[in-house]
This record gives sequence, C-alpha cells and structure tokens, in this order.
Amino acid sequence: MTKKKTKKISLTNEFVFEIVKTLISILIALGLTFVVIVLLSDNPIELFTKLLTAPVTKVRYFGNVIEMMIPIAFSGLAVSLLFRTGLFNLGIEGIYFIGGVVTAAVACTAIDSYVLHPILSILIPAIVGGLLMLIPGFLKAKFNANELVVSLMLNSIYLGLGLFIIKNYLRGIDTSAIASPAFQETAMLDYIIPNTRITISFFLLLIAVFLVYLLLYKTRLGYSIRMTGTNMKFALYSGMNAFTLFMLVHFISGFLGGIGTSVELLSLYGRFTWIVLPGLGFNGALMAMLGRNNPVGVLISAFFISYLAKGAEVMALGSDVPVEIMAIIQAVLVLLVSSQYFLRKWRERQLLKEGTANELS
Amino acid sequence: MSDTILKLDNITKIYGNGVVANKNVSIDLKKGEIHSIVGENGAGKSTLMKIIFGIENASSGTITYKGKEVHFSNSMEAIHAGIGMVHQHFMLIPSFTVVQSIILGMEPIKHGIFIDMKKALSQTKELAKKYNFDIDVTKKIADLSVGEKQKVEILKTLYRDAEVIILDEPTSVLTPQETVNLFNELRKFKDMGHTIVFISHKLNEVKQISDRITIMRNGESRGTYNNADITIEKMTDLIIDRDLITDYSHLRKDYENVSTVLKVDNLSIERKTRFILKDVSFALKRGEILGVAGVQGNGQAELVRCITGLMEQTHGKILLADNDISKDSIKQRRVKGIAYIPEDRMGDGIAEQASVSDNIISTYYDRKDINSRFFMLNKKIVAEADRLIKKFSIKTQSSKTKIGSLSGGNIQKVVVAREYNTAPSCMIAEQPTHGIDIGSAEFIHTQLIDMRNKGAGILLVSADLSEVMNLSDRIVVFYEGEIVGYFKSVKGVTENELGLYMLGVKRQTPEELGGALND
Ligand SMILES: Nc1ncnc2c1ncn2[C@@H]1O[C@H](COP(=O)(O)OP(=O)(O)OP(=O)(O)O)[C@@H](O)[C@H]1O
Ligand SMILES: [Mg+2]
Repeated sequence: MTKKKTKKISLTNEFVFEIVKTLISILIALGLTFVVIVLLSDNPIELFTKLLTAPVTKVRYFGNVIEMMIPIAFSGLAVSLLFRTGLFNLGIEGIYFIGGVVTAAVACTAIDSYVLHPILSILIPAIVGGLLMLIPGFLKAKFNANELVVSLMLNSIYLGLGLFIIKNYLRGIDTSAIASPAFQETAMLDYIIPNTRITISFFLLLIAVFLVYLLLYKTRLGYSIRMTGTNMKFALYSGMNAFTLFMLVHFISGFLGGIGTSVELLSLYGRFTWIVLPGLGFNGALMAMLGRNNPVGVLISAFFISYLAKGAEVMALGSDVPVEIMAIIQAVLVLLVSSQYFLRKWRERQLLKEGTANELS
Repeated sequence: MSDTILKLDNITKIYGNGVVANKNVSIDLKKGEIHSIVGENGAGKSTLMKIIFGIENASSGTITYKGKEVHFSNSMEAIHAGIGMVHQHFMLIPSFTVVQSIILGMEPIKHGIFIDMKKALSQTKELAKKYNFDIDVTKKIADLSVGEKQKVEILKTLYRDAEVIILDEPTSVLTPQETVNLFNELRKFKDMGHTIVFISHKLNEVKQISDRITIMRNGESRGTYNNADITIEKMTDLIIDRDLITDYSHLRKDYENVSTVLKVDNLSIERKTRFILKDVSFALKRGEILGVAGVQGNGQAELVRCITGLMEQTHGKILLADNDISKDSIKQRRVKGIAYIPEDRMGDGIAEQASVSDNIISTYYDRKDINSRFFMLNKKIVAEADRLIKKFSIKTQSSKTKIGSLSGGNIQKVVVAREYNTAPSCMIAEQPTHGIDIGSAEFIHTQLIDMRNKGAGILLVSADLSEVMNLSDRIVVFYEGEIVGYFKSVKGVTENELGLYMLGVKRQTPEELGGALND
C-alpha cells in the first residue's frame, strides 16, 4: 500500500496548537467585548463593526495604529529579552522616562545637521538606557538581588530624577507646563507617509525585530540566554558565565528601551511633556507575555493591541461605550493566552483520534 | 494469593506530541503482593504509574480500584483513595525542610489549628531511624543530595501508609545496605496487606523482592509472571532480546603512556563545625578508571563539585595534567579537558523545556565545527545531535523534541552522550547509569571502558557497588569526608569488605592510603 504523504495542518503540532489557542483566545475576548457592548448600547452591531474595522477606514487611523505600536513593540522586545533570560525585570518603564529626558537634552541642543542630530538624539539615549540597566543587572548578577523589586524602585528614582532635571535644568520657558523646551527642528524625524505621522522609526523597529530574532535563535549569546532562562543551574553547570550574560542582556534591553522612547518623542512629541511614568514600558511586559517572548510574536501583539485600541477609541467617540473597554479585551487575552489548561482537554481528544487513526493505518 | 485490588484494563496512552507510551496494557494488582514492573527505557512504565496516580489521563481503557471504576483527575484524589507514589523525578519543594516535606498534607495538629512541629519532628526522626536512613531532617530539600532526596520521597510516601504504594525506581541511587533496609520494610507492608508496585532496572533486586513481575516492551505488556516461574536470564531476554555482558575484563586494554591526568592534593572543605572533606589526596591516571565508593553524603558529591568548579575548597589544590586549576572557572576547566556527568540530571544535567539538540551541545556549544563567526550552524548541530541519538540509541521523536518529554533513562543517555562527545582527558562520572536500563547500561559501560582504553582518566562515583567493582581499576572508599580505604586492584575485594570501610568500621593506615596518590 502506498501511503500518501499529506502535510495537513495538525493540531497535535505544538506550534500550530499555540497559534490556534491564541486565535481562539482572541475570539473569546472579542465575544465578551460584544456582550459588554450589547449591555451598554442600543446599536451594538454598528459599534462592534466600528471597533473591528475603523482602523482600516482611514489612512490616518491606520497610521495611528502604527504610531501606537512602535513604542510598545520596542519595549516589548526589550522586556522579552529579560524574560527570556528568566529575569522578571520591569525597569524598562523607568528607562523610557529617563531616556526621554536624555532625548530632550540632546534634541534641545543645537546641532546643525539633519542627519547627525537625529542619530545622536536616538543613539545617546539608547546608550544611556543600556548603561542604566546595568545597575539592576549588576545587582542581580553580583548579589542576586530581586530584580523585580530593584527595577520598580529604580523606576520611581528615574521618575524623580527626570522631573528634577526637567524642572531645574531643562525647563521650557515658553510654556507654563512642566516640560522641556521645544526640540530643535533638526532633531525631529520626518513623516514619510502622507496623512500619517509614521517616521523612519517604523523601519528601525522592523530591523530591531529582525536583529533580536537573529540574536535569540542564531547566535551563541542567544543560546545561552535561552538556556539560562529555562534552567539557571544547568547553564552554570555547562560553563556559561551568568555574570557576563546578565550584564549583556540588561545592556541590550536598556539600549532597545532607549531607542523606543527617543523615536517616540522625536516622531510624535516635539518636546518632553511627561510628568508621570508613561506606561509604555509596562505595556511592553504585556506585549512580551502575549507574544511569548518571541520577537515576531511581540511585533504582532503590539500591532494587534494597537489596532484594537484605535478601534475602541473611534468607537467610543459619540457613543455610550467608554474607551476603557480596551482594558477588558486585554485582560481576558492575557488570561487566556497564558493559561496552561485552556483547550487542553480538547486537544487531548484530537490527539487520541489521530493516534488511533495512525495505529490503524 | 488474595484478591485483586487494582485492575488496569486495556490502557492506552498517547502523549501530546503523538508518542504512544502505552498500548492496551492490562495488569491486575493483588492485595498484599509486591508486583514489579520491568522494561527498557521508554517502555512506558512511569507513564502507566502516572496514569494510576492521576497525574496523566489514559487516552482509553479503564482502571478498576476495589471493584469500582475510577477516574482520578489529579494525584490528590488518588492519595485520598489510598494510593501513594514515589516518583522517578522527585516532586519535592526546594524551600521546604525534610520534616515539612514528609508531613505535607498530613500534619499532626495541636490545639485544633496549629501544626504540632515538635511531634512532626520526632515522628519524622523516628521514621528515618526505622529505615536506617541517615538523614538530617531539619535540612532544606534544596541542600540535599539526590540520594537524600530519594530517601525523603520514600519516607514521605510510606508515612502516608497508603494501601497501594507505587515506587518508581526508588533504589537507583541507594546503596546496597539502604536497599536491604527498604526491602525489609516493604515486606512488612506487604504482610500487613498493602500492595506494592516496584519499578527497577536492577533485575537481581526485582528477583529478590517480587511476588509477580510484569515485563513491558515498547508500551506493551509482554506478560506477567510469578517470580518462581522466571529467571533473570529470561527477563533479560524479554526486555532486550539478547544476552548481556557481565564481565568487562576482556574489553580492557592497557594504555601505554601512563601519566597522572588529575591530581587532588590535600583537599579540604571546612565548615563552621566540621570538615566536609578532609585532606583528600589521590591521583587519577590516564587510561584508568578510579572508583569512588561510599555511602552518599560522605563528601563524594562535594569532591566532585570542587573538581568541576561548582564549589570552592577551603584548602588544597587540584591539578589537571600538572596545571593548578583550583582557581579556574567551570568553563576553563571544561576547555582544559574535564567532562562531568552530574548526579542530579534534572537539576544540573538538562534544561527540561529545551530541545534534545539544545541540551546535547550545552557544554561545547561554542565549538568551532558547529559555529561560524557570528552564528551557530543549525544544520551541523542537528547532524551532530542525530549522530549521538543514534549512537546512544536515545528514544526520542526527533532532535527537536523537548527533552522533558523523554523517559528518565533516555534523558540520562542525552547527558552521557553530551559529556562523551567532548572527548575529555578527565571524565567525572557521577552515577553514570542512574536509571538506565540493562542494555543501555552495558553500552555506557563499554563506552567508558573505551574512553579509558584510549587514554582518558575516569573518576567513577557510584552508589552501585557492583558497577564500581565491575568497571574500576583501583578503588578509594570515602567515609565522613576522608578516604579510609584504598584498593590497588579490585581482584579479591568483596562487596562486604568495601561495606565495612563504607560504614566506618574499618580504616587503613596512612601508609596504605598513600597508595591512592603514589601508586
Ligand atoms: N510528558 C510527555 N510528553 C510526551 N511524551 C512523553 C512524556 N513523558 C513520556 N513520554 C514518552 O513516553 C514514552 C514512555 O516514557 P516513560 O517515562 O513511561 O518510560 P519508562 O518506561 O518509565 O522509561 P525509564 O526506564 O527510562 O524511566 C517515552 O517514549 C517518552 O518519550
Ligand atoms: Mg520511568
């Protein structure tokens, strides 16, 4: 008998299963959202359609989606590297803030070059971000200090320090708000697509995703990151150097964070106006979780969440449904995607069917 | 014999990755019997036990317990129904003490709500004493050796006084004396009407303790036999379909350039109150296997950790081919030629979530032939992994399979294959055949001898005395952190005599012991 080799998509494949699981999680989250909309509004169908389709109805809206995606994708990449190494460090939030102040400092300085000024305004915060992340990195590597506690503390410190710098050394005199002076025109990134505010930062992001992917899955450093993340004792036994690794990972993470915050400010802001933590770093942790710490996964999650956020924003305009509906979607998604048990029973039944079928043939 | 207490009917188990681990297995367990289950690595023994214990669900088939069909959906339900299990890969909480682990879920209570720690402590101590298990019950699990953890698992299960007690390879890291004690207790349990399921790769143990024996092969049962009706040879035959080499002496070849590869010079580890290692000196030569015998916890583990760089000694030196490596990092030592098969395979030996190929290169992942300047060469790595999988007959779907889903013995083979593949000049082999089936153990033994013949020095640390006696050229015996016995040749040495040194009854003079360094 000749067996036909069909390469059919099989649920028993771990990878396919994860994707199916994610898709079903999304459907459930959307279903719940729909229920909430029905409860709150008289024309739920119209609103729900708006939620799902609004971002593609106008170039400007879709541009907004990309704009929202970029900073959380950068922080998602940064956080996912830390998570991968087994480090539950949320310090990217603080890096976004202090990195933003550094961006402001460079961008407000007169540098007479449309090439050099943006490069420096991105590169310097990136390097500073990397160096600052070495602090929790060192404390972890040398003293095994709890990285979560340390990073949250540092976030507060960077907030205070940043505000102090803005108020005392970098205060814009042309505004009554607590903010930096306007950035030099030379520092700002140009819009490259009409009707949107998308800048070169979009391409920087794609390059970053590609590089992080290469780093994680193709290089020796990535290999030791993955091994250390799954079993630290094993990595040590194998001869990997935890100290060097922790320092490197923290630096790269902070570097990515620095880029993320600077391109955000240089594309959309024009001056530094944050007076509280922007939340973009914490959002990165969410993207890392949703994207399973995989760089491409992070990118997709960031896009998806931004898409829904824009949809919710448009939908909320002039309707009874508040924009906070986004929070429900996010919470449900994170719960379902990270759940070990969700759909497992169902998968087992599929396996049995397939297994017995294989046995018989 | 009395009636059936637990009956498995046509159990089939297919795992998430499509592996068929059990195929239509039917076994009945009788009240008051000791029922052994034997079979090669990956035959499906642990899987079957996990199904009984409610950790895994059978894909099809039924379990009848005390006349009623049962479906345990987790181990708590099984425990409440009176079933206990000693797991092959321990399920202990690292931050708990031994006492806490043993009484977990069964805590003695005082004043209605408080845990009676005093009582717990005395009960646990008594329990350990009853089994002659020498173990400090106030220690944290994380600080225990594998052998000690094994004992905690056993005590924990026996403390619960279950009607059906499943022991999945409980003796793989016990010393012969500890095994004897355990067996005596098991027989008592049996006489009280308890049912015991015993899994082991050591067929002589199986022969000693069992009433009946079920043999598994490739997920299927090859029949249940009364102990009296089956010989060890027949069992071997059913398990691996061929005979075993029992004597390796004809495989040994003398290595020409005898020189010292590893020298341990007056090594001590001093802690506040006592010495963990005291003035340990010996030399390991190229082309020899030096056996280290001793009851676990007498300093052998620490010695190994000092040599491999996982721990630092307080005094003394370690020389590799005349170079002092005492201050070198783990990596540097490895690069200079040390390989290490660790006793704690799940903790040190592998990353459970990673693939077989990721695990099989971890100690030489930066080697030239599997790397280009910037990148690791995936194709070459897979080819290397596939070659080792074949050579060591590791049972896995592919090199990309998650290693955690392999059977215990197959995981051990990955670890051995990896260390073998570094072509070391000095191999530290700690319980190298821990949990490995008879056929594969023979293979690993011949590989070790082959390495020895080609000029590697092998330090063999094993709780399995017959392994030490079979493989070693010379033997040192450890007791309370010191070398107390040294044998220039294994000829004429009996297990009994070694036992006397291991228990600290006998001790040689310093002149005699000096041979370990100077011979
Ligand atoms: N969680 C799992 N997921 C997928 N496959 C598994 C899992 N656990 C075990 N297997 C597979 O099922 C088969 C039987 O494994 P099992 O652990 O039952 O063997 P075993 O007889 O206990 O072997 P050993 O003597 O090595 O302990 C093996 O091929 C193994 O790879
Ligand atoms: Mg097993």
